[in-house]
Amino acid sequence: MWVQLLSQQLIEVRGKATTFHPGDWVEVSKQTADRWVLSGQAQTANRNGLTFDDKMGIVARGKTTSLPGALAGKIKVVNGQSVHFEKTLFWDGQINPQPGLLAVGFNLLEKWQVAAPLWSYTELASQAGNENDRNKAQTILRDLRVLLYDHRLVFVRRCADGLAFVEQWQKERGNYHDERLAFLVALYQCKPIICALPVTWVKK
Amino acid sequence: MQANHLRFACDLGEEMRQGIVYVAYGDRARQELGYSLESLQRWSSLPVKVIDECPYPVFHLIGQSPYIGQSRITKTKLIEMSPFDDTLYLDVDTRINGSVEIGFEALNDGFDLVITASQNQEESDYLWHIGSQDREATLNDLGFIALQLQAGVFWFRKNDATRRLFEQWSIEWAKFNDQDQGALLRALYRCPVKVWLLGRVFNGGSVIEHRFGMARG
Repeated sequence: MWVQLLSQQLIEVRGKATTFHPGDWVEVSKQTADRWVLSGQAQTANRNGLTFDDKMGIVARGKTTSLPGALAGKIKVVNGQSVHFEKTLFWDGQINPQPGLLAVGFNLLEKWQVAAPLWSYTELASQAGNENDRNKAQTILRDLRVLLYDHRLVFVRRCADGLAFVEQWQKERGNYHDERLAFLVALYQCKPIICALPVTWVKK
Repeated sequence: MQANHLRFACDLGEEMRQGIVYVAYGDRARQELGYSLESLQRWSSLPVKVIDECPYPVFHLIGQSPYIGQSRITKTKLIEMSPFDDTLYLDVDTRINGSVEIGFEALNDGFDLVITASQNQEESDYLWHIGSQDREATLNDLGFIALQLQAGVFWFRKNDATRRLFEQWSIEWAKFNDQDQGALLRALYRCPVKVWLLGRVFNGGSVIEHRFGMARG
């Protein structure tokens, strides 16, 4: 089955491991193709690819507004802190989002109010921040043996609960050295309907 | 730690606010249940309900499931079968080694569902334990490889949102009559609720140990 790569892959060609790059078309087994498409590493010929509309946009923190390769020019990027678009992705300009998954993330906001990847499957809030951070967080969260989210890639729907969450998140960022705890505390306080995503949504 | 006497839901009057539910079908499951209950009573004095398909003389059974031979559909019907406002569901092959209050506290604070992520999250292992049709339906429905949840330990509060979720879970489970986790994911993505994710210590870890698969006969 033919797929167009959205990420670099090493594929065996005539017995030799060959590097293929984003944009390359390659023929692989259906199983491999399905797995890559569903994890955002490739797209099929029938898919519209990375389709975005003007309801969607990215709010970038810091000075970066340039998206990596496949995304460049496909979606609006602004600097700021607020829920600027009907479906907003808060992006920490430092990390590389999986391009094929961004459209998926925006579409999740049809049903969910917030969507964000987990930070780790094993690292807990009890291991984050300094002692002061953890003591403060524990007064809200009650128990820190809970999973952390990756605050660097957060999809938010512009609705009352989404706006309230973002406002609280911004407030808590000033209260914690470790921003992961700030995000988690805001989440616990506001309780938006959040879709937790696999850690692989952020390339590490 | 003083041992607490197990209280079964049939012994209670109006005290149905919080409680713990097991589903135990078959002799092996009942054997595992005994071990789980023994561990639970060291850490919790909450009432317990055991749902079985037939009367069981040793435990005060008050929940007899109409779903003969189908323990998994019973799990998707927990919202109807649990007498509690806030329920902790435990697989019978769990062993309790610490307080289970964390989930009830999160429900009290406003969450609908408290659960852990599965230990297997590798894409190549995605829903490895369910049938291929069930897995394909889940992939097609969601359109991406979602976070897998472990439905052997979870807390839930009865409200409109969770009623919709459980109703959809039953519908999804009935499509393939297989394991419950693919069905749960499809249901959750159609009927999202407020979820609080706990660390693995609460399912397959130091607080709630999980001897996966031991209950199957």
